[in-house]
Amino acid sequence: MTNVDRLQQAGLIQVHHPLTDAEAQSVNQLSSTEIDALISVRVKLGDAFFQRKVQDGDAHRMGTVLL
Amino acid sequence: MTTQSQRLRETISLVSGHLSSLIRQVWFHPRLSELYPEFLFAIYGITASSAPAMRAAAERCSAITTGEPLAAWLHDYYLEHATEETGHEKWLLDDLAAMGVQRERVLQRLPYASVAALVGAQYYCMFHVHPIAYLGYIAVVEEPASIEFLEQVSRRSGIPLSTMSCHLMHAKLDPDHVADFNAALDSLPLQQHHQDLITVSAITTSSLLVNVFSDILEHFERIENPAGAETIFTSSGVAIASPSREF
Repeated sequence: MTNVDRLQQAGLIQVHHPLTDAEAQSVNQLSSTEIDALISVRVKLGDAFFQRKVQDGDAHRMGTVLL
Repeated sequence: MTTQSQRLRETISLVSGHLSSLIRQVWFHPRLSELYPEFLFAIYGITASSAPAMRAAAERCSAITTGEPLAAWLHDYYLEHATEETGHEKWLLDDLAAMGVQRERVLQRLPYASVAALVGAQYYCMFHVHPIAYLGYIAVVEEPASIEFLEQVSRRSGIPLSTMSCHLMHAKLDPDHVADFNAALDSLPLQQHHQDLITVSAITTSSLLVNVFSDILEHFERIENPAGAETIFTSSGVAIASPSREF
């Protein structure tokens, strides 16, 4: 089972928000520990968590927080 | 070939959708000028912890006695950045004071539990796993807003740039921060367990920041309900007079 398969089975990859080929390639490079972490965080945060199609342009300009 | 930093950034991007959405809700809030002090208060809690946490991480690197080749590099990196970050929380205190929230009130108020959890998770990792975990935290948190964006926010919301000094200073001082961090990460001879820990730390940080930004928005919503808003900061000072706390 690939990492993408695991994330799909865990519900992280939604049918209407499929990964691009590049994203799928990135996901498949991750270790099982990293995939486990992704899955555990997803479970804690609920279904809205993986809906990342929002305002990608703003995301870069807004920054994250700051140090 | 994918570099270590590309791999980390791509993974962070997979999990940052909800966080980006919440950060956007804050910056584009219809009452941002009122909300802004509460936003700064949350950021104050995070910023005030940065230099001490980096020093703690450096100390943990010094305690590594297994001949770990990364320990010396990490020690110097954390100490250098701790020096750079020292005192930045004062910018936030100044910005809050300029909006009528006195320094004493900021210092008296307990930080969000979500901020304590965010920072506390890093202490757990550095003391009980490996101090390299803090690189995952830095990768998520150290990304300043652009000056152009801050100027747009000021024009749109009416928040004076003079009360955005913390954001502006970071935007001016750290425009290459992400690129510098990526270059540093790519220079390291990371083993798989290092990569795992950095990535897990970054994923954890992103998820815990969701709680922080949710708290900012939820706290602000409570100002309409005086019973639940005794300490919330707004642009007119404090929502409801807070009783002084003595220990």
